Amino acid sequence: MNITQEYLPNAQVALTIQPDEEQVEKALRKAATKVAQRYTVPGFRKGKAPYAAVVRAFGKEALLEQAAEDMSDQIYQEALRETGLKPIGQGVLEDITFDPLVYRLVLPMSPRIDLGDYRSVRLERSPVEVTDEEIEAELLKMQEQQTEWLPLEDEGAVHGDLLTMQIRGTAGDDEIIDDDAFELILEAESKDFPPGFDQQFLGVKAGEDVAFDVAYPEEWPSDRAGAEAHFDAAILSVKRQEKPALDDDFALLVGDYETLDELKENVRTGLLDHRQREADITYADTVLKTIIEGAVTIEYPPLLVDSAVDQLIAEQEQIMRRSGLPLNEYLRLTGQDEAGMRQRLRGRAEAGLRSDLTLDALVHLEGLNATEDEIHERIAEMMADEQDDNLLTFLESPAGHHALSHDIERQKAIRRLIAIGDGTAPELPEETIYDEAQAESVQELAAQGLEIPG
Amino acid sequence: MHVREVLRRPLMTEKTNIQADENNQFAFEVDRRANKLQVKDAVEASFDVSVEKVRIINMPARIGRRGRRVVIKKSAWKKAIVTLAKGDSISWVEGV
Repeated sequence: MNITQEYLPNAQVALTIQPDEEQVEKALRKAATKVAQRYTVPGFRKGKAPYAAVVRAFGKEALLEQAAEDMSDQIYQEALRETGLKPIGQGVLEDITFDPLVYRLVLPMSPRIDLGDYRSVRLERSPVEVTDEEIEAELLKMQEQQTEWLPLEDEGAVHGDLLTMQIRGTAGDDEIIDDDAFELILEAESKDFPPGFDQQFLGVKAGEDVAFDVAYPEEWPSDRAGAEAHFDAAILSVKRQEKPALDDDFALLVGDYETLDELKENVRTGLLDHRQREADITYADTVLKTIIEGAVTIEYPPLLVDSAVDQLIAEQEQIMRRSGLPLNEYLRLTGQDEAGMRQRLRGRAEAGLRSDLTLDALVHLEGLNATEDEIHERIAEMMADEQDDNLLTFLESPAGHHALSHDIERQKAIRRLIAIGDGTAPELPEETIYDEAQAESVQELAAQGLEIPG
Repeated sequence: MHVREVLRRPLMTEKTNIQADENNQFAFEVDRRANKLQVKDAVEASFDVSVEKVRIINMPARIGRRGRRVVIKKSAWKKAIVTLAKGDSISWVEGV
């Protein structure tokens, strides 16, 4: 077997394979038997036609095609064994010529990543702040949550009060409303009733009856325009919103705080914490982007982009299914097709892939691999207030460990990104893992007789 | 009749295959006017072999009916089975 390798961009290797002649001959005869079994050759019973008769009947080209197809699996395996290449996915048959039989395969190889001098990336961090106004706004929100509707005994209703009433309203024969427990918040201008309706209730008390006539204006947007309406109402209750005062009692009410200042301090730290976390994530993201921009090589086969797109689509599908509209139905309704959607998602998938690969490389270069202890610690953390045996079994399984270590490594990588960005990253040991990895991959390529790009 | 007009086509069937393997006999469809000597000459000239014996079989026409009408579905033809001298052979397909 004659094999030549060629390094292609995007971490792919092209193999040109020419199998030995005896091998082809053998495959041809096998193919002829197979063909003879499937089709009748005139003059012969099925499966009884000799090689020569099959060649005469179908032509050598057709047999070669069949033979090439039958052989391809074996050839592929042999080629991999002989070259020692370890593709990360199934190779793709790019071209095939007959006579002589030559295959050209493209193999997707592991991504090649050289982040260059990523450790020198420094970025400005803007400090997070919380202003007094923001705390004030937060307190108001809490006050809103603590607000109660309190019934009024002897006071007349004003704007903003909540009235509960038994009401019946008609315009001629047309019934407008008939409700035994109608709730109305008094407003200056009502949207559902003619102007002047709300005013009729100003000053009423619980237990009173109200009867009045109002006219719908000519420009009212329904067929009641211009109609004279009569309403009878019996007020059941009048309630007013009672906001608690922002004082030490309020602090005790919303949490176990002695004074209002204590509550304010707590709100401030809470907000600061939240801001800090958000800022950290944004900052890490920016550092990551800068590293990716400054990287010497980030190469990956299209296969990985495809699977990233697949994953995005699967996620989308799950979201759509939960919302009750299957994805294909949605695509049909909006006049799109899956190919178009894949095309649109490609950019996003590729950006995600680059980030993922860079983070993986970072974990490797910085030696951030998750240790057994960290994994067990995480499991203990997760199981602390959880009594789910199934979850525990999963977490303890190899797949669970894998998922956890991936998670832990990601978190460590993000922390390290922040440290790199603001210059507080710990020194790497003298013999940096970075160089080792670099040397390794170069040697590997050289051993494979491949051209080292760049 | 010219030598080139005698042989119509080789017959390749399971039976002729066995005959070729076991008796060194090869079968042809030949012109209906051809006789054994002409077949012998034609085979020797075309394949550069020496012929030991020729047997001729007149194959009857295949006849069918459409009502009362008799229709010939396949006309009568002449088959020749040629025995070659020991060591000689004919291969129908180039390079096989």
